[in-house]
Amino acid sequence: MENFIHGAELLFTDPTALLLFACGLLGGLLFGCIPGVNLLTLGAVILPFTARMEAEHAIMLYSVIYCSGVFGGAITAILFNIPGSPENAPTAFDGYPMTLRGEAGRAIGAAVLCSALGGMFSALLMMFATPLIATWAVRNFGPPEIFGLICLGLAVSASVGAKTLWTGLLSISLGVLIGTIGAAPSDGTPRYAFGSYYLLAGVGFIPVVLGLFAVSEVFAQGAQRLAGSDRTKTIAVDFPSAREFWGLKFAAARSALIGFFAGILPGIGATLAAFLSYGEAARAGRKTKKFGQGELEGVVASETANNAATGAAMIPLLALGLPGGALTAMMLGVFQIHGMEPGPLIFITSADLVWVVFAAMFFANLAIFGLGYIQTRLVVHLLRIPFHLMAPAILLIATVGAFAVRNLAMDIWVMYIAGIAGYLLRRTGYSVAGLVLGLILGTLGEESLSKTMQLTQGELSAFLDRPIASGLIVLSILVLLSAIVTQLRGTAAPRSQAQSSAPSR
Amino acid sequence: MTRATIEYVAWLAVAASFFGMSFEFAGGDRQEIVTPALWPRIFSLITAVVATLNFVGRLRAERGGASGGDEDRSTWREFATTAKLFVAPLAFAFLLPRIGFFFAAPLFLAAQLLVLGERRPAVILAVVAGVFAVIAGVFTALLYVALPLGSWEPFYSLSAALVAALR
Repeated sequence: MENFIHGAELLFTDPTALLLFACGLLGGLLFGCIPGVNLLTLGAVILPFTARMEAEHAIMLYSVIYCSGVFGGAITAILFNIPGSPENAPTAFDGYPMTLRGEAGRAIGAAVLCSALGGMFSALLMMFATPLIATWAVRNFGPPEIFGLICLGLAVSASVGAKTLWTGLLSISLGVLIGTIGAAPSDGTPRYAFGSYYLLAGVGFIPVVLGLFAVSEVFAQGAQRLAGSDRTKTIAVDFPSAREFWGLKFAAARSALIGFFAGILPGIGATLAAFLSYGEAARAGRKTKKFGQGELEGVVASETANNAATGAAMIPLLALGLPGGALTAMMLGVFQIHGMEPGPLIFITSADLVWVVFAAMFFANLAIFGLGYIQTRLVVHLLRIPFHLMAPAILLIATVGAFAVRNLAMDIWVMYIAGIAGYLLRRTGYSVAGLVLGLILGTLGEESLSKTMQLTQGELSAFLDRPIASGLIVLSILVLLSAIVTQLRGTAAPRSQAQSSAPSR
Repeated sequence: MTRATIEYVAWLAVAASFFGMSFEFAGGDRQEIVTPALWPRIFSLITAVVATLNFVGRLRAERGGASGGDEDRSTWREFATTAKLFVAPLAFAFLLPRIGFFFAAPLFLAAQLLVLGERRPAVILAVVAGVFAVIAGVFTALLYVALPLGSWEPFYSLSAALVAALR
């Protein structure tokens, strides 16, 4: 508690921190709710500029954007069937049908309440859990365990945002392969550099992220406009009644717990949390409710869980240095920009940073209560700005962001090529989130494997002597095999159905 | 050739390229298990295997009744339409290091607005002027971000003079 009060003091007594907190909060809410951009766009655009900030401020800014942006994405999911980010996708399942029924206000109201409650619950739990996990991790987590954890992250993230398991795995593999360009972590051997100094340093992470998220989203929205399928709606805001919300208390509590525990898994974060929670709600209420047709509980399950996962996703990032999703991967980039390495020691070496982040996340979620309500009223007017007038500005800011990192024109090319590739990948059912996770987790995985081999003189059997590492690797294999079996059964079933329904000769 | 086949060939090409080129830095006489080639080779093989499973699955789905023909046609049509969106950004990326941000950005903004269907000159002018002024002002005067000044004359000299004036 003392640490939390200290963090809050640091946050509220430092004018710069307070200003950045406010900017992050409003920026996340704004970017989260404007179609065509999302919290990842904002995170990617401001990433280069964090180099000029203090590390404490930069990480705090991202954590606030994470909380407010995850909520903000629900608004586009509910109003336009466009999830602001993958973690808002299940929100659209029932939120958009509610909009079609003229109940957008109830859906958004539930999203405001549940996002704030889920986020605060998660922030409080995070404060107690992260130091405990960090202390435990210092004793038990070395490179072999991190390698095992990354294997698990890669295995589970195959299901994030892709149309099928195969396209998800291909997206991750492509990300891992792109991550191998540049100097090898084991001995610095140049790989796939073709004599280019640019490639020797590896493909720039920031331009790739800008391209895959910001630029490809603009292309996707632009394509819709060219096809004549974009449209603007107006909304009204009516929060669900207290009685109605009280009736959903068990669903909200269950979703908060699912969100928190799913969010801890690296490589998954809020996305799987939202899907798992929605699935559990649908399973529990399958006899009495019509999920997918505008059920308020669907919105509650998804939004409580994805915001509960934001705090949980900070645990592997801060305690183990493992990002749980695209935005936490950017936060890892911020740490690297400032020459810091998140991990168990960060609680000793940068305690102020950690507690400012915790306090900021708690207060950001608290602020969603009030600001979310005000914002939904303002959004009505903001959404009247036609997307085609905003799109060139988004691209221009992204261009400045890509260039400003290293002052290299090549980074601009990389960003636009990544943008086109991202658009094509999304359009064809692949996952850009999976690609980014593959890029970041693949690089970390190779580094940890390389360190493990150096520590054990190249003995692969060393994994067998480490129960946590071997357990995690076995678990990854099981997760992958289970997903493959489910996928194969899923493709076999329609075929057998089609064959049985076909006329016999 | 269907979209599934093109995707399959593209994935195999990616896997073969990464695997084939890994021999350039594999170090044939090295004894250790984790060589610089190990990681890319593992994922090249995974890519090839998963791409094959994906391709087979899609073929089975098509034979089972799901027709991919309409999807293929609409996707190609959409790509052809969307390709216009890529022209202005790529031209912008080409011009930026040559004529600099302060000359390339307004052209890019106007071109992108036109591509997205905006035809009203007053709106185009207002958006270009507003967005350019805000971005150039914030990044140059407030954040002191070094924007490309170009390499061609007189663009370089004019851009440098503009930056000096803004700061």
